[in-house]
Amino acid sequence: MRKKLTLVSTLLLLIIFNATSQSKVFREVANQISSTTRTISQNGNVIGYLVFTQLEKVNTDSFSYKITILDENLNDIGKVEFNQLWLQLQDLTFENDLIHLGYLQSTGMGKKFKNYKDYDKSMVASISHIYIQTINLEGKIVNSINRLVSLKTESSYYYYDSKGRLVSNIQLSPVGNEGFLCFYQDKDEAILLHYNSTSELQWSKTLSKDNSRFNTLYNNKHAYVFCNETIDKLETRVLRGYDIKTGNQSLKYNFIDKKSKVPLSLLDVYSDNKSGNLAVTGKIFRKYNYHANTFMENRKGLVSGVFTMIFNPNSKDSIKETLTYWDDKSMMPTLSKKGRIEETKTYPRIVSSMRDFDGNTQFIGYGVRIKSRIGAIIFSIPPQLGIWVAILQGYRKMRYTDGLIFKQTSDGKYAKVSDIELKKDRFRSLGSSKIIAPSFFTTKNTTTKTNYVIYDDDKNYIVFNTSTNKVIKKIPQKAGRKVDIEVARAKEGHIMILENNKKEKTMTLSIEAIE
Amino acid sequence: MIRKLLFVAICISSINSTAQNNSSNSIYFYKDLSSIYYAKQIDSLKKALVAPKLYSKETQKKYEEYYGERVASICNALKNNEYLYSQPIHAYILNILKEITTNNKSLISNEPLLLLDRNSSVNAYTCGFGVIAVNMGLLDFAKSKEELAFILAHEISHQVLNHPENADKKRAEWITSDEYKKKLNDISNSEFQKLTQLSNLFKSFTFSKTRHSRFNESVADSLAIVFLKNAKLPFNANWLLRLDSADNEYKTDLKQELPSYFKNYNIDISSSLFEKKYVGLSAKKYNFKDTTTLEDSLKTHPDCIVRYKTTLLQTTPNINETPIPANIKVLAKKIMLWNLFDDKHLTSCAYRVLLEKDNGNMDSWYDFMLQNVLFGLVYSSKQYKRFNAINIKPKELISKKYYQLQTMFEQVSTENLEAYFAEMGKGNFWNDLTPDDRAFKNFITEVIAKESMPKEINSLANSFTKQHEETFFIEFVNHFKK
Repeated sequence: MRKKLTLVSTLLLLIIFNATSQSKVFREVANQISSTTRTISQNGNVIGYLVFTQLEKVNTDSFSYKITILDENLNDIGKVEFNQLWLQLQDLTFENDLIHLGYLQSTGMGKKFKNYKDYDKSMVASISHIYIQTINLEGKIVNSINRLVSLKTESSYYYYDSKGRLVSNIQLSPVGNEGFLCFYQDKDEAILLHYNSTSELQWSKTLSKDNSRFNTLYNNKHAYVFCNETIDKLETRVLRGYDIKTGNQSLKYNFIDKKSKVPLSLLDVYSDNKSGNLAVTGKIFRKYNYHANTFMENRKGLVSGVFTMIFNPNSKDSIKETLTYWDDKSMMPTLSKKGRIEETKTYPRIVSSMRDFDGNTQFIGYGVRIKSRIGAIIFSIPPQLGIWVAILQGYRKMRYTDGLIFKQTSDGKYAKVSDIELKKDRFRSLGSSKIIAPSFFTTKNTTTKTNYVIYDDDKNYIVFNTSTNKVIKKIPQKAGRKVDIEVARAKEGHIMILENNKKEKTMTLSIEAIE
Repeated sequence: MIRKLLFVAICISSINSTAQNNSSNSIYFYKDLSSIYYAKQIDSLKKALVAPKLYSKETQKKYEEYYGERVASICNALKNNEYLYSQPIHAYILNILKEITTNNKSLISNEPLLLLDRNSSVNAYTCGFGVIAVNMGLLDFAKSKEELAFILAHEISHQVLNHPENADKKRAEWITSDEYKKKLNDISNSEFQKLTQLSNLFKSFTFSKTRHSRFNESVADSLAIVFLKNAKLPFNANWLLRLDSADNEYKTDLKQELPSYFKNYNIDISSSLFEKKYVGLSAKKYNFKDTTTLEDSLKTHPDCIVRYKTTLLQTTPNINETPIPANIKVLAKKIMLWNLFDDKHLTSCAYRVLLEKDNGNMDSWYDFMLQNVLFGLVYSSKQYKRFNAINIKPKELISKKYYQLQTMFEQVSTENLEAYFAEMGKGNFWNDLTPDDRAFKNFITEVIAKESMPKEINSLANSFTKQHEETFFIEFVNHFKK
């Protein structure tokens, strides 16, 4: 089977085929059609794909839409068509064999205006809703929910396209097989709602709208909300847990390092592979980090450790904190106090993490080497020149080195477990735009209880099994001069390989087992 | 027009007269592939087939465009080796065609030009220009000479009634009609539902075309029965009912549990590998519509039930059907299986081999094909293309065992596949195979060993070609040349 990236309908193809001869009307029709593709996940695994397509405007306010559902092998298993007001799909979730889709719906949007005045008038008069639609696996829209919202309006002065947005987009998360959580923040409120599978509201919680960067999820009988809260004048990540049955608050935790009193920086949040409880990982900072998420955090020795927290409000021992500090040599034998790997003189830059199946946290990143630019220093001995050297080039240069994986055990022991050789780049000035950090993604196979990291070093995709500490595949990113290869996450234990043949103008897609 | 068709007829019949007989050891020779066998004729066809002047400038332009597309389509298919020449099959079908045409001289002015399509779908078709193509899948499916004769007569009817040519004309006339242009303008000027209007506009044409095509099918059936009667050949309406199920080939379940087929080769595959280990929507009980039966319009042969009812009364009583000769059936099946393998439809190929095993077929060639499938899986896995080689089909279109087989192909590790391939290489069945077959086995074994060395594989392919240049394996070996 020549696998389908053809997520367009037959009709669309028909239009394309005829577009050359009847260009105007076909172009007009094609311009109205827009699609977004989302993955459908269950327990963190891709189980299918959903394509949401806006087909056409059916009257002054409404559009016609088509939802195409594909299985994990990209076989089309069904379509749902409906008419509705302007919709923007923001999130979806899957539970109890039901797909819940969260849209922003508005009477004011999807329109163009001749002038700003008309636009303004229309936006004032417009009514917007959160629209949650539930589709079963027979292709029927079985339920829908509407909640009135007030949008933050924006405008494009050039086109006068109507634009409005929520302060925080809709977030949907499954509650086992017993409904779903819905969170959104509009101009007036931030709210967390729990609906059962038949879309009946179980409880709602209004959250402080002074907070920001909300993230919500369900885990083991509790709904969790992460948000930024100002504590002692510092932006701090705060976690609140709510009992899923009653909606009562069961937990509150401020992510602050007890030693330095500095807020902690969170990396990842997930359901722990081993215990099934909520696991939160992150980095500990020596002082408040204005440079978080830049390589500077390591050079300046700002990161002083890593942590893993396991939350389980169901038990008495509701929070298990595992913190590792670089200066605790019993816990961390191979790093300097500033976090440098002494053996290779590189600073590990940790950017992600995952929990393995033995209860350990694997922190994943890559090495950074920073050197002084001797030539620049010598050149800048005349002070007038020095200013220009400092402005244009700086006195230091850097390059990314190998991929690094560290393991933190449940008792806080932290050690490098792997160097993964990546393409060697040359040292470049610190400010150079040519410095591109290697990227990667993680995936797991719950059947074989194996974790994988797939590094992209711009030359190969390197598939690394963190259970056996072995590179198991190297997939070149080029197959000849005209063929580009991309690798992405797919169904459990698999990766998706996209081969773009620029010469033949073809795209082939393959979903391959990792091992 | 008739002169041009005659010219084409001469081109192709002249090739037939110089054709060599196939050796009994080979299902065909490399030179029998259409790109080589008909090489000289492809250009002649292109030049000979020019759209006749029928219309005013605009409609004529469109007509020539569609006519040209049809010519290009057949020439490209010839170039892409979608057809081949197989002397025994060609001669067998040609005899049936002649039996029909010679007894219907007043109705059929030109003898049809026969092409053999390697495709496994149960079909025969006419592309106009006097060409009738017969798929290997049809030969595999048809039970008797008489059943085949009816299908051929049906295609000749389309030819005689100019159905392919008329379809081009109708399309050109419609697309250049004032009515069509006016409707397009109306759509362009309307504010809402442009897509629906456009879709309806095309649906109205497609509907009329479909209705027309249904009418055409019915007329072709009636004329085919006349042809058969004149040729003193029987007709049985039940053949139409059989054609209705022609798309169900992979719904036939296997007789044994899957691991037992592999045990015959000392390959022990855990039954758990045939069960899906991950959860995906494909494993859920979805039912967006009833997909257990193929929509009639999507079938290779639509409207068969209606056509059966219409023609039932014309069934000849007490028919003695003549089975298609076994050598023709076997040859067609082998060509079809090889083509499935060469086209990387590995699960379909393997499944058809296992179905043959169920029929008690002991021919070692099928074991050879199963080993080839394993090679395809190993090689495509190493190239990160196993997914496409398995060609996963939705569960509602296949049997339970087919689903299990594709699941196993998906889940088994490359290392295990390599081990299965190696184990099959030791099988006793190799003693019954030809030196060419064994040389091919050596070639694919070397390809696996040198998978990451394209230059080495290239030289292996060149060396194989030099030593076995006449064999049909060359088409496959060419995939490994730079």
